[in-house]
Amino acid sequence: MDAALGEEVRLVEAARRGDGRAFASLVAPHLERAFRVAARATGSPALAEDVVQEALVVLHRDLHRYQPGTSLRAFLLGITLRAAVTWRRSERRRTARELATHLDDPFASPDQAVEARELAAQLQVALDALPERRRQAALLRFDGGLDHADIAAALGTTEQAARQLVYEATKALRAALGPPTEMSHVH
Amino acid sequence: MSTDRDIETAFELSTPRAGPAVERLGRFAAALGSSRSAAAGIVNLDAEVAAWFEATAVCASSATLARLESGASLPAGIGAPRRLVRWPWALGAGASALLIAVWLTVPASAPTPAVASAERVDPQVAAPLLAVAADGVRSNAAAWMPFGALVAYDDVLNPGALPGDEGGPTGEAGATGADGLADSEELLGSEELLGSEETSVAAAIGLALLHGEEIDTNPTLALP
Repeated sequence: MDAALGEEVRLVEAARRGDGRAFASLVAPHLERAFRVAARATGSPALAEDVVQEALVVLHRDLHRYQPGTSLRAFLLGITLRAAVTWRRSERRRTARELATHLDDPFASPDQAVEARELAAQLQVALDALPERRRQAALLRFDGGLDHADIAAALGTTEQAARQLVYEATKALRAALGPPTEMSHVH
Repeated sequence: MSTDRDIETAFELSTPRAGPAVERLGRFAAALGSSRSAAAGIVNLDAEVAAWFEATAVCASSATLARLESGASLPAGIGAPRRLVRWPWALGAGASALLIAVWLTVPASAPTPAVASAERVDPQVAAPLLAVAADGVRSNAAAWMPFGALVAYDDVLNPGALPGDEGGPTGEAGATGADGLADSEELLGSEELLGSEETSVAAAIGLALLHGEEIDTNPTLALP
């Protein structure tokens, strides 16, 4: 057992015993990716935090199912995607006022904000047009930073199928967004 | 993956800033991982939901909740306004309790409602209180200040207690019984009332019912 795996095993065991710091240490490296996936999956940075909270609750409950040495990120992001789907379904209940009150500007700088927001909207439209599995594969690949094996684990499919899903999604997104030169001005 | 670089770039450039949210999520994880027993003592909820409550509270307004527990008045500006934290859907059909944790708006000078320590919500009590709360919100929503509160309703201990509740979590958005907003909607009589303040008031009343010393239906205690 290498040192990293040994440390993960220790943290998982401690978290299962109710050690909050251990649980936080386990998930900390993956929270930003989970947030990105949730934000894109829901189309709302405001909702993303709640989705990830929910995913953490499920992860904590199901930690006994996690096998150390496999990908905790894939495990968490798979849960996050499923939680996001549920939240999207129930989103009609939320009033626009609730969202408007609490949204920070989600982008890094004012200079980037307008163009980034436009690009985000364009990308969101393109993603929403994808079949669900391709969309999820794209989120896991580009927001989640997973490789094909981990995408397969998160989606419960084979690595080859995951590779194909990412390929098809990428092709469709590229067609929707246009050639790279049209996006480079956002820099 | 070099052929994907243009799409990677598009994702990177359009990624929302996650920093503060990630920090809060880290605190949430720490609280979630360690807080079950303590939380369960607060409202006698299912352990998972209790953990959710406490972790959310820690993220959002532990000071406020402590004040609520002690029955103290609330100073202005506690915590930051935050949207409704809605049902923990992911707890699924196995979850034995229903919970709403919310950010609630009340006047800074208002006393915390003094209400009952009952562990179960009595619909005969809850319905008129919620109606009163809705009236109060309609008349003076803008004057309210943020703080956190919680309503919890144990669907296993007390199935069917609220109008519209059919006795068990279904895990499906919008279904009566699984959805506290559906319950509140029934109690408040109109979906259009279910803005953040209205739902929050419903939550506050629920919290009061769960935590207070006595039930006081005088609306001036809870509302401006």
